[in-house]
Amino acid sequence: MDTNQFQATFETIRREIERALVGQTELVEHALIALLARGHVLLEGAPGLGKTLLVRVLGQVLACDYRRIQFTPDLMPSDVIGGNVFNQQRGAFDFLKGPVFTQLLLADEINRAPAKTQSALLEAMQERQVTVDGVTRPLPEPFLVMATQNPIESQGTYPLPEAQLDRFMFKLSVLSPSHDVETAILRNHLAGFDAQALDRLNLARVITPAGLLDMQNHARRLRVDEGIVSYIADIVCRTRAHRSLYYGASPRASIALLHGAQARAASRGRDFVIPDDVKALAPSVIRHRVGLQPDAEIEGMSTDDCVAEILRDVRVPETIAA
Amino acid sequence: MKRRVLVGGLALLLLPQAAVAQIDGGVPAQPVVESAQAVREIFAARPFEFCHEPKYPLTPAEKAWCDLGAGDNTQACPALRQACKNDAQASQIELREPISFRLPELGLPLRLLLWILLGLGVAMLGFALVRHFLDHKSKDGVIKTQSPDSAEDDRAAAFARQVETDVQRLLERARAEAAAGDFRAAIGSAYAALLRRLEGAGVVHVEPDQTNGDYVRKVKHDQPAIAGQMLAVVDAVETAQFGDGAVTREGFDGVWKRVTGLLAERIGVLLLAGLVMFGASCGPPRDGWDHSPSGRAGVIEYLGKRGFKVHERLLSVAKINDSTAEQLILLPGAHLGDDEWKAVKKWILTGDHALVIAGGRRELPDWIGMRIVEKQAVRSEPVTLGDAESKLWGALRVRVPEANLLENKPDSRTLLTRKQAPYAAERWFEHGVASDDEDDDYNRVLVLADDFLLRNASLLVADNAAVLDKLLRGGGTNVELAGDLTGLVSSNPVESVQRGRLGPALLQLAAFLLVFFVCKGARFGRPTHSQRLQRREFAEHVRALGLHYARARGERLALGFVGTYASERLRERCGLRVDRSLSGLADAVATRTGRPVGTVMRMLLEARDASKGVPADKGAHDLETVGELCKLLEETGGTGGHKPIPGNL
Repeated sequence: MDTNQFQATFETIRREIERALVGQTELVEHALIALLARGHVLLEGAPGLGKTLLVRVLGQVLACDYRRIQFTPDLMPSDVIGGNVFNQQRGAFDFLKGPVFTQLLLADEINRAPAKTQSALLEAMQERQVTVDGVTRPLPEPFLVMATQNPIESQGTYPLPEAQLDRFMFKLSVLSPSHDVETAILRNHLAGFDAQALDRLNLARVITPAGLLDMQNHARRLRVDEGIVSYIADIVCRTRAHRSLYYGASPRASIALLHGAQARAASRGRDFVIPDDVKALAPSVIRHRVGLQPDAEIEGMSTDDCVAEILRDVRVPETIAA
Repeated sequence: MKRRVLVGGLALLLLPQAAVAQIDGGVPAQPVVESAQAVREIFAARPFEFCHEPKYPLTPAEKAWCDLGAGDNTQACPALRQACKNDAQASQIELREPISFRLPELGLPLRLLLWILLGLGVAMLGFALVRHFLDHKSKDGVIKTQSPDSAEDDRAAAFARQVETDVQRLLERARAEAAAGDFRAAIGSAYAALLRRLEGAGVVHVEPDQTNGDYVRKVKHDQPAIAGQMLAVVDAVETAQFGDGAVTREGFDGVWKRVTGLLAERIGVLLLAGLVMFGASCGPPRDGWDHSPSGRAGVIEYLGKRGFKVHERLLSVAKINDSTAEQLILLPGAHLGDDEWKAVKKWILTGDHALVIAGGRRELPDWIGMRIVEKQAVRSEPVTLGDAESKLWGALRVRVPEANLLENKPDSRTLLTRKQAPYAAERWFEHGVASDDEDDDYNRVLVLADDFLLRNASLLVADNAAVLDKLLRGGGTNVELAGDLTGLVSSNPVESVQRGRLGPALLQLAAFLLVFFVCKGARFGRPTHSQRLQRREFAEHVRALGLHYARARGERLALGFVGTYASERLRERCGLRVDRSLSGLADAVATRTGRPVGTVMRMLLEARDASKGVPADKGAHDLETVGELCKLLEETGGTGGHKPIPGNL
């Protein structure tokens, strides 16, 4: 696969998704970038903004296995990863695969399950494997977790622990649509669109899982200049020394930013990364990996403000010599 | 009563003007000082830097005074001799003739043609505006700009040389780097030149945190017409900077062509327009009321010391009949039209007034009977006094640099001569006609071939100061100087617009705003992004934090925070900043609120334990305690914007 093919495929996937999901261009782009960079995505937004629809459409367009887990307070780890069940006929334990054994996993309202169940995903997300009773089983490739959470409701929810958050490459905020987009959504529905019957849309299966892996491998091979590497390191290191942040981002953030930038560059038809790729993805990569100091929180600051401040302070590589 | 108020208001309105007039009057009444002494006193002041700074940079014109011996007057101006020895390093701002546009008397067909051309021009302007907005609105919004040929390249480079040396240096550097084979660096320099030019045009701000994409987005937003070209340049630049392919001469040539094309076309036009507007906003420089050798500050001071009352005239000379001045001096910067000359003539012929015309490139009206001839004198030729003046004034010497001469009618009288031609001449008028009667000191027109005698440096040369005094003495001591600013002030804003001929410009501006409003609609002028609230009330912070912790089942922590806050506020309100004991605080609060001491003490103790991290007892109701503490705060009153806590807390 070459860069032009990559870009063309990326655009086709995007166009197909946008047939069903209107007005969420940046969300779709970032979700695809995460997918191509082998990352996972945490979607945060109010109910009804199309988070679940995005994942469902993605599953259709990518021709990947797709599973959904509705996280509830009584959900157990074995409900996610599976467990050994005694087979009376054979007189032995058989492993019953949980829904995590899929290529595209939608973890809906992930913060409704207790930390114990949330943690069941840790190994799956990072190692792309599941260990039960000492036996490790690999997950299918490609593997992408898209988790959603609702920032408004707090009753009966369990905030994700930092270790879990760090596993997500991007945290994307799903914003409410503008008036024009809202109108377009209504027109779609008037024209017969039904989110429950996506088959009627005849969405094209743009790429197979094997093709997706090919794209992922291509993105990883893109050239990254030494200045860009240093730029990424500068940004992430500064999160650890920022006065308004209680804790900074881990090296995993640097790696996510690097691979994300590679995927973005490839999606733009380039075979090298530019500072713009890094700058565009930095908020999505960092915002959930840092913690605000209480006084900054009281002042009404957000982690996005801190990231923006850091980006203003860090010198872009190869700035003009004048 | 109403009338009294009206008069009072008018007085208040007029007061500042009166003050300005007083300031303009400049020199208060003082005893007359002898001429040479007055010159010494004047130049002893620090503002006349050329008399105190041996390295003072003189202009070539000012150096001419050195040849006439200005530097020899070391008593009055000690440092000038040394300054005269240096080369002329400064340059004089050339005074420009004001641009006056007056339609010539044309026949009907030509006049019609002129109006048609004018109409076409306005229509083209409107078309350009509409097209600009349409371009701006269109989605792609990219107008392809043709790459200029080599001649255009040269033109672009020439343009860059003219307006911005920084950009020019960058372009030169790019050329040099390309010549040396370092095409990667050359592309960077060419791109830097483009960015600097865009910055100069106010389109982007070059900052270290900005990426090329940021610049492109800014250009796309502000100048969509050049965004396509800019994007192509940025692509090439980024490929050179971050890609791994070799950068070739063809790559550099492509960038160079696009950059110079952009510099020459769109941005060049923008800059040129900016420069034209800037130039249009700058009038001719004020004619030397300064302290340099070419200025007049010393002359005005000198005349003041010699008993003259000198004012700068700001009102138009057309209104000279309303003036109380006895003598009007027209400096070269004063430009008089027909109306002004008529008013001056009337003023001279009907009252006891004198007019002094100090050179200048002007056609004098016939009734004055004299004409200024430019650059006719020879430098070595001295100026001599007329016979009558020699008798009256004594042996005074006059030295001025290369100067103009006069041509005068026989009925005028020559006061100063140079090379057998008049340098200063006067003419007397009585009842509207020229007269030989000099008994009366007024109704006189004195014409000087130039204004050299009215320059600071002139006072240091020979007996110029004394001669100037003698020349002006005959016209009265109440003197008004008409210079560059004369006639530029107006009594009301409408008159200002009329005088400045700003009507068309204002109409154009109004039309532009109208187009802008039509294009942008009601959003124009209204902030599109509301300002984010930066800081909330402190009590609100605490409440929000308390709620946050309560929701996260952190009642104990919430009680700790609220308890610490409440204890401190209660101490403040009960005046117990020194007494830190809880029992004292509980006593004071109980006394103030009427609650039992034990209840208050229990609450305070719980709050203290919570703030110290002591675990809660079984059955403790931390949130209720928080609510109780808040009620205590309410009951004790005080400031801080505290609001009632919701009952369900």
